[in-house]
Amino acid sequence: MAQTPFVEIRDLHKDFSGVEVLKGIDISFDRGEIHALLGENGAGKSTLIKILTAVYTASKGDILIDGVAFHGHSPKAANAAGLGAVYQDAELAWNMSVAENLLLGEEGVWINRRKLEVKAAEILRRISLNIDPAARAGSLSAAEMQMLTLATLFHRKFKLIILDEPTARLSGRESELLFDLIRRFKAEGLTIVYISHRLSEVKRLCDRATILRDGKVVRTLLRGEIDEALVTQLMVNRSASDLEISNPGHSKPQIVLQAKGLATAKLAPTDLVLHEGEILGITGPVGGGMEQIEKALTGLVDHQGEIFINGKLTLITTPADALAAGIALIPEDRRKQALFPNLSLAENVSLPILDKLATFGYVTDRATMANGREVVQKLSLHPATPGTNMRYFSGGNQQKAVIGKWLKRRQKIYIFSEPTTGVDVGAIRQIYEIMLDIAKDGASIILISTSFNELLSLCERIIVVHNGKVSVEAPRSAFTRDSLLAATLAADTHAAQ
Amino acid sequence: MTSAPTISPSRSEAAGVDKTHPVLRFLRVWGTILVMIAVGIGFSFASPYFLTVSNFNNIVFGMFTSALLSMGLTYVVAAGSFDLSIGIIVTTASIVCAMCIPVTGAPMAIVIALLVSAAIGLVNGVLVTYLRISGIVGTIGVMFLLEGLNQYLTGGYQIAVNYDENFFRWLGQGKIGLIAIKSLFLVAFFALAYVIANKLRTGHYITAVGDNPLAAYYSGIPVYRWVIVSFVLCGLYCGVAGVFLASTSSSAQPTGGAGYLLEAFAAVFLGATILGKGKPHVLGTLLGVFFLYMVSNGMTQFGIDSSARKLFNGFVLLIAVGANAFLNREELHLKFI
Repeated sequence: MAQTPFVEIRDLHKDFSGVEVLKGIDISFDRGEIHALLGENGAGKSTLIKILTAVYTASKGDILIDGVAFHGHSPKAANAAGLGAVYQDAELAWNMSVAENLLLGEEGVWINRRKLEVKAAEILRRISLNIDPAARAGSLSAAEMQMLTLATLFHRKFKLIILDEPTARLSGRESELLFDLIRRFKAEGLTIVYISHRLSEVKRLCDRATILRDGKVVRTLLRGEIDEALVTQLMVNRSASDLEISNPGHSKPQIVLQAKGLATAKLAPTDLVLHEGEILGITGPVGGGMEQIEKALTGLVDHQGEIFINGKLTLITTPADALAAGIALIPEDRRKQALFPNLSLAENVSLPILDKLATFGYVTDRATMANGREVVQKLSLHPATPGTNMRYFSGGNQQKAVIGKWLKRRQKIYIFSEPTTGVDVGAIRQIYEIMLDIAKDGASIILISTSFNELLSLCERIIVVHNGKVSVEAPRSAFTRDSLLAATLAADTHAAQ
Repeated sequence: MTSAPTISPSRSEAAGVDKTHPVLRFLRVWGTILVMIAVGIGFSFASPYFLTVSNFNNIVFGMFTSALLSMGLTYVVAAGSFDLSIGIIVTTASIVCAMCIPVTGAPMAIVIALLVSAAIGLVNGVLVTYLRISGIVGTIGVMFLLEGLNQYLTGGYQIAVNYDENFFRWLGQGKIGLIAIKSLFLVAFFALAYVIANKLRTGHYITAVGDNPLAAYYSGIPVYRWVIVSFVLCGLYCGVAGVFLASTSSSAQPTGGAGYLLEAFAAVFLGATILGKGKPHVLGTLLGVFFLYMVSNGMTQFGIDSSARKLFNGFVLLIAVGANAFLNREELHLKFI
């Protein structure tokens, strides 16, 4: 196309306190295009999106909209310029109707609900979306909510819509409906930026695909060129040896955890075995079921099946049960799910062992601080001041603190969920070393991750979960980077057909 | 347009399909009202005077102040905040009104009282938005300030309204035939509150802001403005209640409105369970107030002690709100405000 692209990004750089995440991105999005962004975790996709929606500001470089430089500093400014991202659930008022949500912000002084519904029905008809305008938004299915959010952006005349893993929570059939809607938007001249790990979707849906690696654009492929082998080759960074670390094998034959027929609403009955000192990797597409295993084992979701800890049948229905059974969860969203930002580091890491620190039920500051100092030393936390409030620590050090929470309790099983997202490169290696130390000391680890680097460096056995089912299970030695990526993608292709 | 097939996610796939038993669903919508009707019928059988026009008049006349406060509070709670200064606004408005009447005459005094009430609401609204103070703390602060101010203004004594003020006294004490003027005003103010809440953009945006402030923000709605508007409306309704309170008793008491605060909260949250909305709404609030006063009235007729009345109110509130929370069960309940 000879015309100016709708959005053009030139030589975009972004660094977070000295660590460069984007190293000069050049990319353009045309009108009426579905453009995929591909890349491993940490390749820079989410940072790029956050800059495009003005959540972050670029360190260097330009964003041109219709050839004119865009200098927004808030999501609102980006919205005004026609750029919008779809976040999960965040943009619907659940107690209001579909019509009220769709037309929110443009009503007259008098509210005529019937008129709103008629108008909403017209918009929904225009994009051929069959949802009852009078239905309460909170009563819709996940797919309908997502499509309603999309319809809202469409109606507000957004010109570029970013979809981040939009099918993660949808069934195959629902995904098809979403694709129909996306194609219809494309026909209306909208630009869609589509982010997904599911290559089969990208192949069928997208006009172009740009592959990011290490904060740089590797290549932009046209529709016909998108194929698994090529994408794999481009996504995988063969020169990335800076994080080279390997698991010498701490696994012992004794079984620590065994699950028989473990199943949830989104996970088919699964058998699982974890040995003493073993690091077991679980991977797959986001929303494909790997997180269900984590949630079931930590009592966060209702599940069926039997869990044996050290051969003893154990009932785990709440996080407290899991803790008592010796299972510790290091969750992905550590800020929200694992830390108390306004308590000090020492108080954070002492919480799980308060009963041990207490003398006759009384916990002294001296005891917590002593424990804090111990954790700081053991995990080389920085800054080494246990009295500092948790929120002042960097992502990597916060992650170490979460691990530190459990170390003193001598838990037998650690479940790590994406332990290195939002962690700077320097700290990643330290976290890997801590994990290997944990395994060496005889505890077992389940590592749930989408980073192949991580899985291949640390795990002794890897399971690929897709569409709620285990599709591959093999020892580490059976995988190369390419074959692991292929296993994830192949599982996906297979399931989509 | 294209003639593409319409996109229709099948209902069976919908995660939000209501799988609850139809009886439970019925109870969720009508449960509270059924209890109210049952109690009403019980009283009618027990006392021949209960189900009479004059007694109905009594109930409506008695609930006026409480109803206005509660309707005002409904806006604030719908917007997602709290207002603990409502009782004291009533007192303040009645004092301001009674003090101004000798100076400015009744009509102007009423206007001044309402302006003062709206201004207090405005202050409350600014406190919880721009000044980032929580609704509970901010309005408690305002409550203490006004309490001190009222005590200073009145010196702790009531302020009498002159018996010549016929128009002013007519508002709160007049009658047309059997019906009190005050009751007619109650109907009018309810109608106004209902229209604002359900037919005007004002109520629509207040609801949206309370439901999901982030969604409202992304929709380009000035969130702070509508929160402030909800507080101003609440202040105004309390102001009206204060004016009528002064009119009914021909005086302003230094602590006249304080007792209405908790009653209003009870009515709003009881009202939220009516018709299964789970969110405060004006009609529910009115019915909630009516129920509280009906019970009080009925029990007085049997000479039941006021301690028993309070016990009953407490149980009804806990059971209604508790049952509703149970019927609308969230997956994980971790919000304790």
